[in-house]
Amino acid sequence: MSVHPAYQAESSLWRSISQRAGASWRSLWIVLAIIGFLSLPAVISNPYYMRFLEIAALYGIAALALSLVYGKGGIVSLGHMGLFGIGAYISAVLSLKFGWPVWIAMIVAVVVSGFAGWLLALSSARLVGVYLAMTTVAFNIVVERLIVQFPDLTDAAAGMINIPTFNLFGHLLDLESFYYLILLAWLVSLYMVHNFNTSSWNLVTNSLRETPTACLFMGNSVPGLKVLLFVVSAIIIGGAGVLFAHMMGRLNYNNFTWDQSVVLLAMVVLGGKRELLGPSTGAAILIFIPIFFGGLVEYMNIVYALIILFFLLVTPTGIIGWIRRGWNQARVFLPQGREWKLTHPVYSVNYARGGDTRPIVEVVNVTKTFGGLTALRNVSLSIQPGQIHALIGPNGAGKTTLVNVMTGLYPPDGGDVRIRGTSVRGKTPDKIALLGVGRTFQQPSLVAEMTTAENMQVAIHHRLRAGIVSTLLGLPRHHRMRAAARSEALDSLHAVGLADAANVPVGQLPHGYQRLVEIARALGVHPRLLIVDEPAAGLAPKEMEHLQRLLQVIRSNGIAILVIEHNMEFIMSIADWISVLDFGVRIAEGLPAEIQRNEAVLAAYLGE
Amino acid sequence: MIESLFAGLLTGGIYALVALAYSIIYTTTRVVNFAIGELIMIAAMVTFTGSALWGLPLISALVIGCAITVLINLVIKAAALSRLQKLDPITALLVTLSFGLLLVTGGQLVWGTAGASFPSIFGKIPLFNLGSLIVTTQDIVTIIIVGVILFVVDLIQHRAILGKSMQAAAEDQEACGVVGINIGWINAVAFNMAAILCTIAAVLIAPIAGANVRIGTMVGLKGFAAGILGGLTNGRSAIVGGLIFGVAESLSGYFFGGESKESIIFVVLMIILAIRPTGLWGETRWQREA
Repeated sequence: MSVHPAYQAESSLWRSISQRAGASWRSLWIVLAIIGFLSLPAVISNPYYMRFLEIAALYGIAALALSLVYGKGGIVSLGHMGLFGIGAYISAVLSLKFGWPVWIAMIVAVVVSGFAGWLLALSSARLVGVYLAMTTVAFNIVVERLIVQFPDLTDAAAGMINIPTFNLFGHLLDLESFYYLILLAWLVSLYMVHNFNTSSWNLVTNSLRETPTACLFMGNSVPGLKVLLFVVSAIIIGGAGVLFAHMMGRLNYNNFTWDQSVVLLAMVVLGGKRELLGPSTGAAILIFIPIFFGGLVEYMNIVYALIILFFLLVTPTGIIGWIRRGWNQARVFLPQGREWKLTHPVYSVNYARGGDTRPIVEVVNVTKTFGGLTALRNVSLSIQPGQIHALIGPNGAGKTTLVNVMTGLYPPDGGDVRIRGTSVRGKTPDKIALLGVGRTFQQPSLVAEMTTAENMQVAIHHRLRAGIVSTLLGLPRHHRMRAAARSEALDSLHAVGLADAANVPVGQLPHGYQRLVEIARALGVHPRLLIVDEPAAGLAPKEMEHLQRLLQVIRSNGIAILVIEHNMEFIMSIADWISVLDFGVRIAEGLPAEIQRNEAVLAAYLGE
Repeated sequence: MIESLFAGLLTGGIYALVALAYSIIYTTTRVVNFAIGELIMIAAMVTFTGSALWGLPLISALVIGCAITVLINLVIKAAALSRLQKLDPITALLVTLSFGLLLVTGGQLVWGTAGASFPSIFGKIPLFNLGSLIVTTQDIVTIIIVGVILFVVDLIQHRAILGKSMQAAAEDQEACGVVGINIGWINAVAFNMAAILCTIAAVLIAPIAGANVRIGTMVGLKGFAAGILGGLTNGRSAIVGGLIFGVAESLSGYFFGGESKESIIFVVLMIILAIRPTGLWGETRWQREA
């Protein structure tokens, strides 16, 4: 029985042994599987079944592409068969009707699919939920109608025939050699998605799906990420479509209708939407089932529907996810009630030290109204480098609204916020984060199933990442950046004293520790200003002491800290300067001792 | 031109009925029931079977069709609604889509895939000419039925206590229960109203589209698109969405030829959603939830 990764950290020797053993077992399985797939044509001599095997592999690629968008990004697309069809038809039309060399037609077709995916993503980047789903359905229907509307090119409803196959090294591809090409394409796409899954792109995408607001405030452009996922997915599925056209030699628009997109989705859901091998498993099962049903193919929809229902409602992780969970439960030993060691906070960075004597943040006469309610009225304050600035006030005073204006969630109705001289007007929260603003949330907003160290990387990603192409291809830069991001993640955890819990799924940490994790994550954006929203709420006395020390250590690096807090004892012991809000108006500011004696403040808190 | 406008308003009215069916369920329960299109198909096919095959009077066949549609929709509600409300909207949509898939395939098992013509309830007696278009009793009756239904539903939604309760149910089902609104009952009313709208849409669309098990999917999808275009959260805008689509479809047929009719709605929808992410009059407050 092996142990949970968290415990492996305690013995680096044990870790390296078990990791090496695991890695070599895995390589062995992969090699065996590839040999198995390579020898399949010898086993299956029946060309009818070979054809089905090829179709299953291509649908496996298509479903993998969809899982990138749906499983990872949480964006449902019922238009992916449209993208598949674009790849197939463009390549077929260019090679058959225009007589282009097949290779060029194929490349152009993949590029066009990627472009179509980009257009679809742009037009739907702001959409959510059913609106997004409907746009993708509409896209698919437009594609299928376009195919029918150009009978000169596509032979419309009758379907295209005699689509040319092509030469590979002087060898005209037949059914069997096509199998090897498709096998290669399938392995390459699995490899690319595997690289994605092991990069920080994957972690950021998880955060995009589970905690989109936090993802945005950690410096990641949410619409940008969605568009990128869509384009990558469109290129992969377009490639599958291209191979499909030349392998089959004939095309019919029936294969690319929006209800076929539902079938593709069923494949993803069946196999496991977040598993590398899930989509291919689902595709293989749904492609091979009709063979056994024989003449009842038209009733396959019942099978698809029941599969979607069962796997959505009963086993949302799909077959592969279900197997993996069973496997992990059998192997992982996780004792209950373990306490994670808090070590002394150690943090030392240079980027914010010295030089800057200007205020980090200037809030100038900011007004913000919601309908008839004025949440902030002419509020001004400024925060100096290396200052702990507390923002206090009764509930509903507008503290969180002010933070939301400062960080770009709401545009101010009047006045301005300048961060190191740059106005926040017209800037989205991710751009403001990159100006050097890190923040935590009242309710810790972390991805529960990712480890503590992985959650750190969401904020580091914008600085330490390989481009998406290097990542997918597994270029050296991908490995370098992965190592760099991991090591910085550990540094941030070390800074807040939680290195002990680096490999624990963050959802298993106590609430107070999750607040520390949030502070560590915010350090990842290299903040000049750190905003902590009610950091002390619900902390045990010992944790409170730790938090206090931590904030002082961060301040000593020249970083300004804005604390919103209700715990007066905590505020008075730590703050350098205090601003008080009441009903959206700043009623006082000053040193802690002055605020304690201020009559307006006492009146606001105790009532007149 | 005038003729296509007129024809467009007719189909638009039918789309509006369908959009309203989606909207009523959505505004009450926050769930998109994607099986609506197939409910229309079931209503049409049962009515057709009753009248043409069993020789029942059309009106009794219609009552049976309506009853069965209501029943199926209630089964969907009983089987899944409380679960659907807990799921994220997309998963819920996929679940109801699967129900629709079960209905249409079940329909194929019962009726096969061949089509038959569906009798017009009020005949197609020519009444007068509009340009080159002959306006028949079917047209006039469609206009009257659609107009009356839309008016009545609008009254219920905006004037009656029932409509207020439905709105409240959309806001917070639990809180409604606490203040004494019978949530199970309100949700059932919404589902039943939707099923009745489906039946009406079925008898209006079937004489045009014929009686076969494939008529539901596209009508359902276009009706949903119309609801999305206007904004699902508001009955009136769903109606306007339906009318816009009907007119867009037939004008596009007039200007660009018949083939373009099938896709124009979806092109318009994509463009409008790209500009206004929650539809023309959808409430942005619900953007995150929807």
